[in-house]
Amino acid sequence: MSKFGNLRLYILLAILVIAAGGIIVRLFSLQIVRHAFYTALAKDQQEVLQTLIPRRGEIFIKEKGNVWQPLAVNRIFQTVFLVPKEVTDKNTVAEKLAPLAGISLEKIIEKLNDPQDPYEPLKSKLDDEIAQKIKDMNLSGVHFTPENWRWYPQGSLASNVLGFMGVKNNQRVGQYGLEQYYQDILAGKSGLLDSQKDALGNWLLMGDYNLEPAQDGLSIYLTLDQNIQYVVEQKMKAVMEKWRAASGCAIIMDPKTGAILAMASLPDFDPNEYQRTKSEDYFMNSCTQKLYEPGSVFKPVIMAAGLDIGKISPETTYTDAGILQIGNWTIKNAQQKTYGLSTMTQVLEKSINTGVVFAQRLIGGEIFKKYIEAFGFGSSTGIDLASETSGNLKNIEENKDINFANAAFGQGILVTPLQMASAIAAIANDGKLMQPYVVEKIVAPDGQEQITQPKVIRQVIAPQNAGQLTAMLVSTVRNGYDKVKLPGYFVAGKTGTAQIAEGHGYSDNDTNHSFEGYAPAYNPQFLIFLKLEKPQGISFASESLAPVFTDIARYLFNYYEIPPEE
Amino acid sequence: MTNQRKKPVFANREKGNIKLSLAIIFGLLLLIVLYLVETNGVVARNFELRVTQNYLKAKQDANQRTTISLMRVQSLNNLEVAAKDLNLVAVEKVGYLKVTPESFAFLPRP
Repeated sequence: MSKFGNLRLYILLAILVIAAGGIIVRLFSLQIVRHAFYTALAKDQQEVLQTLIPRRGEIFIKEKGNVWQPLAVNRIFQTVFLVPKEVTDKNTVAEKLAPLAGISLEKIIEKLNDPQDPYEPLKSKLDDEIAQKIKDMNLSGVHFTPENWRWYPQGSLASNVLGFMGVKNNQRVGQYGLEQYYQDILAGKSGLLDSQKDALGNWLLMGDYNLEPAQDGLSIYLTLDQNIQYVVEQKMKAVMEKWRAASGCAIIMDPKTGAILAMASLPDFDPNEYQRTKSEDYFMNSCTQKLYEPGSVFKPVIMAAGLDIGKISPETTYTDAGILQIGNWTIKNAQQKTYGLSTMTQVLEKSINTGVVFAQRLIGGEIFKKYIEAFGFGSSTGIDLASETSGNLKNIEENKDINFANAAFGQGILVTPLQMASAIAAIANDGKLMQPYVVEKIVAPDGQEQITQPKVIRQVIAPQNAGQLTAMLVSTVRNGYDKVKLPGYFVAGKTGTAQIAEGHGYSDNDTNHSFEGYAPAYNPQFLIFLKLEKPQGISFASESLAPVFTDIARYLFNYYEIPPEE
Repeated sequence: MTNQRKKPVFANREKGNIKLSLAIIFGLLLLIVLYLVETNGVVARNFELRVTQNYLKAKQDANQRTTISLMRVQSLNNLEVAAKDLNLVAVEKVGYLKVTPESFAFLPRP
């Protein structure tokens, strides 16, 4: 071979070596250095890695005859979004969309102004009809995507018990009420799908896949009755409006089980439009979260203690002088009245402050405090609703005579309406304090049911003493409140018109009105607790709330078909 | 003698090899055909599934619309509005019939 022949061979060899080296370097870069990047890229093109969202459990409200109506359900809404670069005539699109979406023209044009913007959300939770109208207009650059949202078909009904689905840290979670308390149970568990997809992104049946199915949430069935709830809310709204009260609360309870049949906290809100609510306070359930000084509705508690330890009987007498001196403090009756010789039953009938202080002094501070605690005051009732408040008994913990005396007629202690209702329910229920609850059963997607069993917290007073007190409270309704007109029925009840603390004293103008009662008194089927905050133009709860109590009680007698006893 | 004996053995072996090869090729072809049939079946099922999924979704949407309309109609606010036009009269007094065990209707039959 010639000299040049060898050279050509060497050059060819060198080219081959360089080319092979280049290929090796490139392969090294692709396969080793950028391995992770290309693996991810390939995975993205070929595989589906999808989080499977579980279906949130639904909430149902009861109706007579064990019929269940939906109160919170899942619904697919349309979300409309814009792709500005696809929009040819901004003004026309904005003009057509504005009235349907309920968004101003300027705002829509502003969203369309950036031609490079690939996605501009316009409105979520669009009603089907409106979404269809927009679709029918066939506007370029206007697109839709389905989104699953919570929907409350009854609007504001029992909204403060329900709570709502809100957004927290970019996550949709239940807030307030049942939605928050049962968040984990309702939410379920997410699943995962790892599979292959075709060029269009559709899941391929061929090939391997890894599927961890989502676990749907459990559904909740309430003890609340939608008819009672509705009637109670309507009545309370009417009385609030009539007396221009700041807020209202109503609880209807089965005293034998602690099941809540209705719970209304006003003002309420529409959980579908919770963002439009005027104040965050509206989300609070005033029945379980708002503390107040109960006033005279607390008087049965001191009577219960006195009867239970045998220090008083319904016939025990004392002479009322209209005024009582405790240290430097003076205790007076309402409207400065003096009643003279009175029995304990008359003390309740006429709501005599000095009379209950007399009973409290016979009992003594320590024992009185024990009974207050035994009735559940100062601790949460354990109801299955979010953020229940436990009350405040600091005043009586100071062991001062004046504080015990004030507490005897319900001043100087802070309780929730639910605590008050539960305590009176204990008297109705032969002295047994029950744990209130709003969920009757929890049902798994496979139909398995977990039924709530009524829970006795403790026997607070002996059944015979509870019976005696019930008789005293029946007498109170018959002789004390002429506005409670329920002929033929024995109704036990007590009102309270409480002063409201203001600065270092009490307000001269504002009061809280309460009415508690149960019927039929000797075999109670329901307990009604009503409260109005700062009603205007009316002085006493026996005037403001007695008619509402009567209306609701009459409705319940008819609804449960309870015949008169007399 | 020896050659004469070996020849038929070789020929038989050759024939056997050919048969085996043909069988393998035939088997492979059969497998390929089976594979193609199965793959075609799976792909067809994929399309069927997609069509069914779309059908299901359309039905689910229709079902949701019906359920929502029903819930709206049954909502208490709606019922109250509807009831207003019916001029219903509130019940003033409800009477109850007292059924005692001595009532004739409740007596055990002879």
